[in-house]
Amino acid sequence: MSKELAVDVKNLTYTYPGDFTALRDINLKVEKGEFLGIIGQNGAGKSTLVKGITGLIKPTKGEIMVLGDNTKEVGIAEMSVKVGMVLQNPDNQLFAQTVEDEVAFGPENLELPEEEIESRVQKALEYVGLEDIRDVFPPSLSKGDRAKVIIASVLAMEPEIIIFDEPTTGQDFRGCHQIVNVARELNEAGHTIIMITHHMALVAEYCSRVLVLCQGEVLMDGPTGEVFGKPEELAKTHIVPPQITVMGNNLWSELGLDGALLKVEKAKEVIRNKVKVET
Amino acid sequence: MIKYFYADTLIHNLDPRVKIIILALISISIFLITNPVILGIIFVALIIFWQVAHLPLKNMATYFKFLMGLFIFLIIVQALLYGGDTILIAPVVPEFVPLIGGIGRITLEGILFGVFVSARVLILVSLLPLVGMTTPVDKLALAISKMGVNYRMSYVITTAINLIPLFQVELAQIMDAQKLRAFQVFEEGRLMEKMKAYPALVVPMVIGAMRRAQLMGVAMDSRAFGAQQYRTYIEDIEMVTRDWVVLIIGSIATIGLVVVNYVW
Ligand SMILES: Nc1ncnc2c1ncn2[C@@H]1O[C@H](COP(=O)(O)OP(=O)(O)O)[C@@H](O)[C@H]1O
Ligand SMILES: [Mg+2]
Repeated sequence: MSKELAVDVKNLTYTYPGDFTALRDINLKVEKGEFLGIIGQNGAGKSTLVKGITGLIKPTKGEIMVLGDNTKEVGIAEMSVKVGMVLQNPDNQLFAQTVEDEVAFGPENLELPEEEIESRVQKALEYVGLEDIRDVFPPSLSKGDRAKVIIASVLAMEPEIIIFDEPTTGQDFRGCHQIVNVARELNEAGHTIIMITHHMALVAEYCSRVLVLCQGEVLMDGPTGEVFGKPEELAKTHIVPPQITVMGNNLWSELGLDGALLKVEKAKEVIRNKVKVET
Repeated sequence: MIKYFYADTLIHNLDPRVKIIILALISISIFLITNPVILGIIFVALIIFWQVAHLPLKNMATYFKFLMGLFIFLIIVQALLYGGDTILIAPVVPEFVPLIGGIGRITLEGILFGVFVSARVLILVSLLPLVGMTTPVDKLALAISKMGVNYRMSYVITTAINLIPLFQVELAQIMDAQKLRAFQVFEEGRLMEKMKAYPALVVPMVIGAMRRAQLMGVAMDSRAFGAQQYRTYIEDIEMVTRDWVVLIIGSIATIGLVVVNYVW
């Protein structure tokens, strides 16, 4: 028995009004509980694909099933509790006067009872560590905190699948890791996570599987180690694996590796063992 | 949208000042012309210009679809109010009733006048791409400032033109973000709800615009914007014989049509 599917994209083709085909015949199955990374050059179609999954845009050809429902047949409100998405540009997602109102915006639209909204807001703000700045005007926060407010406002919808569209672009090192750590925690708590990013080191560190898009088509799809183990393929779309992986790929036999080197911790361990043996 | 695209055509290569002057002349003449045949001639000429400039006629169809509501409104209003002798539908209130007599009467003349006014609007809208889509914005700025408008002012105008498509993209993003949080007032809300929802749409737009303007200001200052009263241009524009010929023929033809309209 295969695991239950969170997302099932079948032969998806999407053409923007004005006749630009951004995605061509995409197939993608995401199982519940996966942490999928999507990478590719700007304009490859990453955002278009995830917009399709959220139901914001409907397939031109093919279909997208989310938790068993066809996105063509499900309304906005129903979709929003299945899939949440942190969009690419943080500043176009903040429209309330206070952090609290911002996070409450979604649950209010769902017409939830007041106590339920209050408890969701509290929980979401605690999750991202912003419970002390409820009354601040969101746009006046730092970039890292603005991103956290948006994440909290998505969490308050309690969606099963959470998509992050380039959450780390323009964030500093600490901001990146804080954001991706929230994603990891959510994944460990059972949410299916899909993350688009240009930070290959983060992909190697956090994602169990990677989808590589190139000019609207799937170039590669597989476990992170496998994808980063084929630098020649990745070079076709100008992607270079993280430095630690490149080192591993080059010193494969010297280090006695049995798979692609993805994490710094793992690299340390391998090298330490090697050095010990030889001295 | 009206966005510049490159092509090597007569209209693309004209001096932008010529295009602006002829655009202005035709725009004025449309409102002076009362004869449908002459308006028709202008419309045909316009379609030919679109072909010459390689503009997709599909766009004109899009404007037409977009303005359909306005046209229907105009035609209905004129049909009811314009008056005329060819009565198609008898009045709801009989003619002999004082003051409100004749209300609800629909005349052929009214409908035709509604169509005529709609055609004026369509022509006016279809004129803009002939300048906007064939002239890079920086050339437009240069032309405006060479026609005597202060450089700062022309910079403001052209920057605004440049930013419109950007704002449209941002507006779409904001609405997407709202939909993702189950907000559907703009899809199925009532009018009052929509009115109340607008601030949430405008706030991020304005804040984004102010952020951008501030950054732009710093970048411009740091590159000496406005340091001198006059400035030079990397690519100047100059009227050549071709420009003069088009300007003279275009002006005479346009003014001629207006004259014919009144003399005929
Ligand atoms: N609203 C739109 N209308 C027309 N084309 C679009 C629109 N949005 C995106 N595109 C085009 O679709 C392609 C894929 O865009 P996108 O999915 O945003 O790429 P990515 O997120 O991988 O950078 C790009 O070439 C982009 O120009
Ligand atoms: Mg994108």
